[in-house]
Amino acid sequence: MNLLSIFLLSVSSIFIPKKLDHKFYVSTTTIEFKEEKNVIQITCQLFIDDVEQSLNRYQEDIKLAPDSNKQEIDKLLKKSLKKSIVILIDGKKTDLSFIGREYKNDILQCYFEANAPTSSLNLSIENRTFFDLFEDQQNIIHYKNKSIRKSFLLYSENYSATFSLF
Amino acid sequence: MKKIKIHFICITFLSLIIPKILFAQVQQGHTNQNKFRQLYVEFADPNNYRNASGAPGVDYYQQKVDYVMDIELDDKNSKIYGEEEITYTNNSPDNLTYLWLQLDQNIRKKDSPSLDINSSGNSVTQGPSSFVRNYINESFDGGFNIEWVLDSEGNPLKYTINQTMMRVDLPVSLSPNGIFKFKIKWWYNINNHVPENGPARGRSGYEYFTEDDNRLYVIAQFFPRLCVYNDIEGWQNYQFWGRGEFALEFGDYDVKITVPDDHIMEATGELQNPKNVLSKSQLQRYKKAAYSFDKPIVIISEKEVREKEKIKSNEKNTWHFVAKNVRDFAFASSRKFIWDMMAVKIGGKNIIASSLYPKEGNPLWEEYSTKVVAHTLKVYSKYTFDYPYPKAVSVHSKNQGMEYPMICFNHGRPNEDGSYSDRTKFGMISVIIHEVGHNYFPMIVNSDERQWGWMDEGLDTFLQYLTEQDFGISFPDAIGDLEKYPSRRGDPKKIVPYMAGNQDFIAPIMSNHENVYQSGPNAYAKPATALNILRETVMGNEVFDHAFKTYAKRWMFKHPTPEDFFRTMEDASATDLDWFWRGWFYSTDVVDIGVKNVKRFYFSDTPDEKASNRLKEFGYDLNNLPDLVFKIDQESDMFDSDLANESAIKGSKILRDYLAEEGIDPNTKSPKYFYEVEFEKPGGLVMPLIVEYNYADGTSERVSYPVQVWRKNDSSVKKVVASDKELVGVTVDPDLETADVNLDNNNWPKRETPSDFEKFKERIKG
Repeated sequence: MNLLSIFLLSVSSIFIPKKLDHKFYVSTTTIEFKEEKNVIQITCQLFIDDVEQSLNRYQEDIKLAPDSNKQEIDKLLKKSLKKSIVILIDGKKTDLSFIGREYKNDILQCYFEANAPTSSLNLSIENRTFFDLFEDQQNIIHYKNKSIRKSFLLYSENYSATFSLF
Repeated sequence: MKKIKIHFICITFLSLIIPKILFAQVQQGHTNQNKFRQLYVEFADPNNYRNASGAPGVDYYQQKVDYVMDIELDDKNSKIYGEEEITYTNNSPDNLTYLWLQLDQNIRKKDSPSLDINSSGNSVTQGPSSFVRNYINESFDGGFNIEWVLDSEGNPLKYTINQTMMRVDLPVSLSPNGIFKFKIKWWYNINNHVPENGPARGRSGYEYFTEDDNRLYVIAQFFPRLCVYNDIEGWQNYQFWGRGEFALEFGDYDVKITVPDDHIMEATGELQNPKNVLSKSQLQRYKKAAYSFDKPIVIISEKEVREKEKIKSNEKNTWHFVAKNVRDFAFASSRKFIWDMMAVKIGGKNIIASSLYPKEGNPLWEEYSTKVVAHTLKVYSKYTFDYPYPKAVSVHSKNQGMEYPMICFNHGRPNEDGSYSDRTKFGMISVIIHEVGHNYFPMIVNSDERQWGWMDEGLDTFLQYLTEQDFGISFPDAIGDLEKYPSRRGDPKKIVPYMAGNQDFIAPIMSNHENVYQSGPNAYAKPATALNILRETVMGNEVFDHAFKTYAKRWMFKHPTPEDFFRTMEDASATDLDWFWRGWFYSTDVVDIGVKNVKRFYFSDTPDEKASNRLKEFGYDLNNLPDLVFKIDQESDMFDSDLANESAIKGSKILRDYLAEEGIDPNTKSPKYFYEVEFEKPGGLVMPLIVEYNYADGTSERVSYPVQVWRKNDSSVKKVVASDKELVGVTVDPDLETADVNLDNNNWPKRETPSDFEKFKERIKG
């Protein structure tokens, strides 16, 4: 058995004693269903430090806010987020189209949109963002459809949530 | 006719009563669930140790523990050795047969159970460093090695170690007012707190700099320290699991620390022998800095440090510090340290603000660190008490943010070329404010951090917010084009994503630090935001500030509990806040208040159908009514929109005559428009109802209805608005000051608040 397979088979998430005032690994993804437009709007809020650390694994010299290379960052972000966030509508994987991104203090907000056909009923989201980076990463999901609100907390042992759109 | 009517009533009666009969024979009662009921069940009873005002009671006591220590730092082998003499004064009314000490370093022992308290097994990935830590046996060999524990005569004392605590059995029990002296010798391997692979974690340790083969030490919880013995817990018995910090006794420290001759050091306490450890020129600058109030004086410059780094001295030198009335002791030492210092006047006393940082911290640290320390002391002292210690030090330490008396370790490192982002800059300023601020909570107002993380983190984060905002005003250049300092926590709307989250993963603030899912929002942001709301929206600055200051002053150098805080805030302000503590601190309820309906109405002498029916029920003869005035609202069968454009009392001769008799001109003095506004409260928290009324002429009016509007009806409340102007809009919480989790119901007419997504999409469309 090689080292990698040991990793994949038997590794565990281990608690590392810490307090270190501000470092808590959390992201927030808000999904809003706009039934009349047949779309879902997705807003991901990520700590800029965490994004930077994550992108640095693809390319070491990347800096965010201000960006070292805007196009390159867009490309990498799109690629890595589409890999870590998967949305299924009624069991079918949907394409996320990248609308853009903006900075709010130490947070990066990324916007995606996806089509939701007229008779859509259920949505599943898998959000593994940064699970490969931080063992105690938590990804919060907020869902909104008019007055309906649902909320989930995803972590490495429980990385997906399925719920009715209504 | 009569028959039918009776029949109808019977059906109604049955249909109302049947469901209840199905479930219970007798009407079910309930206990008091009112949101405004007092917290008698939740609070510990006041007593002679802690009184009902929230102040220390007549029999309040706390133990005193003094330390005389000799420490040696072995830089070559990264080991630390110590001998300490402890003088324990028993101020309690109890006989003690043993003493408990904290051995926090034992959390780094190979067999520390703290590694096993979290669930494990399903993580898809892990860093190579945690792999090594967990599965390779040669992991770091940390934890205390206790060489001996002796009494003052040199006789060995029996001791037993249980994880991170050590019990020393006393040869004879220690009676009230008794003093016991004993000595401990120990050593341990210092951990690298910035390991090469994986996340850097853990309070204290060293960072190794490959380039110049040097270490930068930040050393804390490094000696066996007495646990707290008090009226709440007896001996503190909650082990150190990693997150819940410390509970320690106050005392005096006399500490000598031996380090390589070319190291520079800062520590808790006043330096006693600057002449022995500083060069002549350094000493001159050190003395000058004590009177430099406008800017820091550099005692050791970057240029000097760059020279020093190259040659390593084999000589040793001993630094001597003395600290009075502190609850802990920490220090930082390295030959890489640049040192600057200034003075700040607080309450007529000169306090020293200083910073230690390696060249890797520049140019950021020389620009801001010491100034931020000085600013923090000023602002925190304004809201609490004059800073009682002689100095406050900020030490650069990669990835850390950790506080000790008079000294703290802070992150904020520029890129290798010296450039840095705003994020790094504001992150550093904020962490320095936060950690220096911890001198007030919990170093001086000494709550039990192990039990209640929020009592120091929450209160500190609250004052951090005020200090940051003040910093933005005092140092406008530092914030550049920004409107105000970009505080991460404190602004009510920023806590909404957390509070609106899945309830399964949210705990009340009144929970132990170790047992919550998200300790950041739980112990820092939510209590800080709650206090900010209490100050700005519920109590007002003046009333709040007096009460908060009273709490801080009452509990200076003492051990307060949550009740002591809650009680003092009410006692010193004449404001019953049990509803606020219950909702914000003891529950996970959220704020959601909205406007449900707005109905225009006017007055008439003739009842509409609804009113007629009610009158009949009460037995009135409709043809011979006394002088009564009736409300005709938009939903009434009588509502006449033509009449509605006239004055609201035009249709009521009775009202007009009455006003005229009272000498009030009915044409000019009576408001023209009347509205009934219904507010709803789907959220569990009660809050003051803040409303903006907008009128057709473009003017608006703010009304803040007291929180007590909810005391009899927890879900809805109606208010009448009488005005000469037509009402065109109603907004609840217009400035987003209550952390309302749902803004969709905050407006009449209904208006959806555009999301960030939609605003962004609109903007890129151009």
